[in-house]
Amino acid sequence: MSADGRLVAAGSADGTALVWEIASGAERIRFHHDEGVTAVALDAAGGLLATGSFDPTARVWDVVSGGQLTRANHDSMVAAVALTPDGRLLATGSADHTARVWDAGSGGEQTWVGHDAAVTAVALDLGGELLATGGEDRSGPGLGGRLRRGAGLGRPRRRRLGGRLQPRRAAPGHRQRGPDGPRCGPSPGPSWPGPPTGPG
Amino acid sequence: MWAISGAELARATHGAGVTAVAFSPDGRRLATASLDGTALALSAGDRSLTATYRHRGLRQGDVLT
Repeated sequence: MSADGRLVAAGSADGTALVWEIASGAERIRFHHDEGVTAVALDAAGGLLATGSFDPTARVWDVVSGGQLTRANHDSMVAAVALTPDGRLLATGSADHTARVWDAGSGGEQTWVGHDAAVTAVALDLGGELLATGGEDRSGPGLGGRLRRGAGLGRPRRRRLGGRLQPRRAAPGHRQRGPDGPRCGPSPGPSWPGPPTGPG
Repeated sequence: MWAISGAELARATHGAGVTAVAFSPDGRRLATASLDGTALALSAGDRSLTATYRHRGLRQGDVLT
């Protein structure tokens, strides 16, 4: 639902995502993926709809014009999507074991992080400063106990991303850190998701 | 939980897959839900566990949000 309670959205296995006006029950607009839609999210004002699909992309749509603003490519089905309330950022979680943050308007990839299994849930905080992810590897956001294990946290997933998963499909191009801007988190240092460096 | 830069800030571990995560509207808390039958509430600020909610009598797959 949009934060103002005006619109509700749903995705279907038939590849469509629909937006309804709650008060009247009237269908406002519908969008089409190439395969089943697994996740939907509206921004606060109900002007943007994010969708995730088996096709395996996430897309951001203009609910008013019906246009597609952004297409974000994953290597496997997109299981979760989230938008910041202002519609600025899109977060996606995928069966390719990654969660990614995108500029919802331009489609530029801002950050990616990895799990050891499919990412099944994502959330962004109000200001777009924090990302929470949940995965089939049982990890959710939060506890300090695991945090104290420090650098060891990132290593298995770096290996997985740089090794088995990365070469699986090169076509979408989002792991080719091309000339069209930064493809991973802008912060150096302990920031985990850097350019894939291969096993180890 | 990650900074938007991609730096890992903290993690919680459930006994089964995590099906949902959500921030509170004020951004101070996180909630997680898992197929292990529990939901956790966490402080986003100090990354501490504030509450555990256990669903009783449910089977795996019943806790979705």
